[in-house]
Amino acid sequence: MNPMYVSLNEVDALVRKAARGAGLAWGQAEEAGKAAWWLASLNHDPTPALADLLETHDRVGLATGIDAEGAVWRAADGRDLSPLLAGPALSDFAFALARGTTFTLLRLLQPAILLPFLHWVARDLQRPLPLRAGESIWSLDRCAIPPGTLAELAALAGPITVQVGGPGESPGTPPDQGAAGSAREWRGLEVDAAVWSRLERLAARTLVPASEASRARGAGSGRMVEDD
Amino acid sequence: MSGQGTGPDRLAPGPDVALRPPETVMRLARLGSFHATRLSFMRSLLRRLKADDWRFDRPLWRVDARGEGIAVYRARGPTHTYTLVAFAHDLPPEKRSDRVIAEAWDATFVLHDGEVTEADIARLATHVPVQEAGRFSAAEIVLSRANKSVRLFDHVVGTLAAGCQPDPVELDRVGYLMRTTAVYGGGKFGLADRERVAGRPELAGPFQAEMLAVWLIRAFTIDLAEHMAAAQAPERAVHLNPDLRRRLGVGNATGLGMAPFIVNHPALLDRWIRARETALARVRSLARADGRAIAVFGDALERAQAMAAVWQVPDPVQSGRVAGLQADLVRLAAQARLIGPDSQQPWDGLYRWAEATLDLEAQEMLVSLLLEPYGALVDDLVETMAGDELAEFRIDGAMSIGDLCALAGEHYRFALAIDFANPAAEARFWYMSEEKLEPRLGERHLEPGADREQPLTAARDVAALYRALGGWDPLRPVAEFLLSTPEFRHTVRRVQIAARRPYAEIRDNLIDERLRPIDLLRCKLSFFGATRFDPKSDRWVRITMYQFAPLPDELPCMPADDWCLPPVAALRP
Repeated sequence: MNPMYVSLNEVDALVRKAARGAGLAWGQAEEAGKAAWWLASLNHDPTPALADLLETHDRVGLATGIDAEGAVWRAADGRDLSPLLAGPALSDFAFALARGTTFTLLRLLQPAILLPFLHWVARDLQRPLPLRAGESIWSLDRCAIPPGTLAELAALAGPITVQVGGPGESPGTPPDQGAAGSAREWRGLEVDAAVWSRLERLAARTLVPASEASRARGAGSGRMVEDD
Repeated sequence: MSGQGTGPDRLAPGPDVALRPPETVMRLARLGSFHATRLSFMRSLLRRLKADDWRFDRPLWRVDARGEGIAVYRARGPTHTYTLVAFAHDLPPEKRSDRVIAEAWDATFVLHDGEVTEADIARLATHVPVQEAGRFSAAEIVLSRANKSVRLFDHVVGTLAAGCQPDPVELDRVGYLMRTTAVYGGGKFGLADRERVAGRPELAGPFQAEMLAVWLIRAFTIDLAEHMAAAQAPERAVHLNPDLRRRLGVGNATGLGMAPFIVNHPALLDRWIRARETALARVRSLARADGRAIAVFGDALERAQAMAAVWQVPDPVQSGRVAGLQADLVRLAAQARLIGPDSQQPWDGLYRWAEATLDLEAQEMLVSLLLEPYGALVDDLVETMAGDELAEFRIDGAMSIGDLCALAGEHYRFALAIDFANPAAEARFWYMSEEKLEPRLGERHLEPGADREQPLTAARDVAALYRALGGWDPLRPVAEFLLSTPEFRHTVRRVQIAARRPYAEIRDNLIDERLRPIDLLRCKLSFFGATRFDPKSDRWVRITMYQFAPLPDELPCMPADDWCLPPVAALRP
């Protein structure tokens, strides 16, 4: 690992561009960036999971829609379900989660990437939100996430069946403290430069190379002449 | 809109005047006619620094006779200290370029959080001079660089070295010794994230750290010129007279790089515009104007006339507008002379007259002038101008499709009226250039790259959303629509933000062939507090910052906020 320190804004911006470069729509890419920002603000490096996920999006074109049979969701193309589709969709269905609906997500990849979206829902609903995978249950508090949750979920790459919602209990343990917000000296998020480069490769696909036509038109910048 | 001011004028409140509607305000032609106001960020910064009794000094000056070296400027406030570390370079003329692709500059800067140590300076010396190619830490807040106006810099150095003062006419012709070509903040290149510092009162407002850095840079440019003069002629060189120092601001050349910001931060744009519109409505609502307010307004109008008289630009479009402004201000002055202490709701009457009579440049100048007498009534609005896009970010999936359609129809009427089958309506596309890593504007029908278009396409996108929603049951929730059509998430979010925040969206098509990108630039720069807008094309503009403002060493003994429209006497040669 070749460590480097990056700002939260850089995480947001790079993941947004990389998601767009991997074929997600702009709105989804913005959500990916904000989710990465939130995870990074807890001093959790989301870039390895997101690099894997976005490369999968790029390689196999994970469906850009969700098929819903009632509260059972699967990817519209029958492949694995991306948390970058499921997370924002669960956030949209906060009104159903408020009524106690439990959503079942089939073949979900990288469930840790759901956390920011579920945290925002729990905060809005002012109640804890349970998340079940296999035998494990995590209860997402409205204030922050319980200790260990991130690490445990991050260890699950998926695909895995996950259930979100239903009756939940407050975890009753003190929440993780966001490192970025704490008083200790914050140097930035430590990431692996090699992983960062993988995201940069995807992000580069949002850039437009110069063409004969654009050069002939001054590359759209107008000419800056230093005449003062 | 009632009773938030504490000034004496609130003792006689008039009927509340409504805020100007977004359909009026959020047009590019009007946004591109904005001038700085009391609420602009440079002005609110200096007011705060003065009120909180900030102290400034220059603990390090290690610059040689060729003008190469390091200088440190320190700003000490009630709880925090910031230091500007300036690196002065001896730049060969062929390397001097304002383009973002430049790799060397006359001077490079960083605003450091706290006191700097020699170890910090040594670390920064390897990163700051290479700018975007460097890496920074959360202890640095702003990164910037500047190039000399060689002609004026040499003139000032030469005359000071000869023991004389430079010609004020020469100073005014340019207005600055150096122009910044970028001022970066907000976590770029590893700099501190805004969230890290936004809890501090002095940095809570938008772009306050950037504005502080530029103000300190201005002091450096003048110190450097004096230093060079003294190095040339140690026996004869003199300092620049204080009134001539204040005549020098900092220049800035701003291109398309700045344009997408206000489009990509809709909630923030709403806050800026809403603060300005609320200030205007408060003043227009006043039942009477007392003698002091009438006098302050009259003085500000005279100052505006004096500024307009010296606002000379080569650009034919802007030159015509300035001529129109000069004529309009004469008419405005005649109309304003009719206002007395007995006039009923005088400022509203004056505004309505102007709206019906004057061009946009003068109408928006009047908005700025009307706020001048009423700091006690409007300055608190500065506190409402910062905001967090994340708070506005979540889509309300419970909203019905019918309601979303209705909101799109209400807030995007302009967009739904556009025929996007006409190639002119989408003639342009915004993109990020691979070569420059900067936003650019392309010609969709003439250049490749539109498949990598940036989302500055709200008008076209909302029209498409509106069509798509037509096939859905209006009673179903938006969440269901987005499950199968997540490509509309960006646009649904924008419509919902615009519905909550009416000034969030520019009511013009940003990909139309008639788009003038400098309208976007001028809007943003007016909120910064820039003056002397000097368009160099339809896509880049030169401006001046802090011209006539006090220097750091003068702030304790001078008014903090009497410079944006300078006293008429200060403009005389």
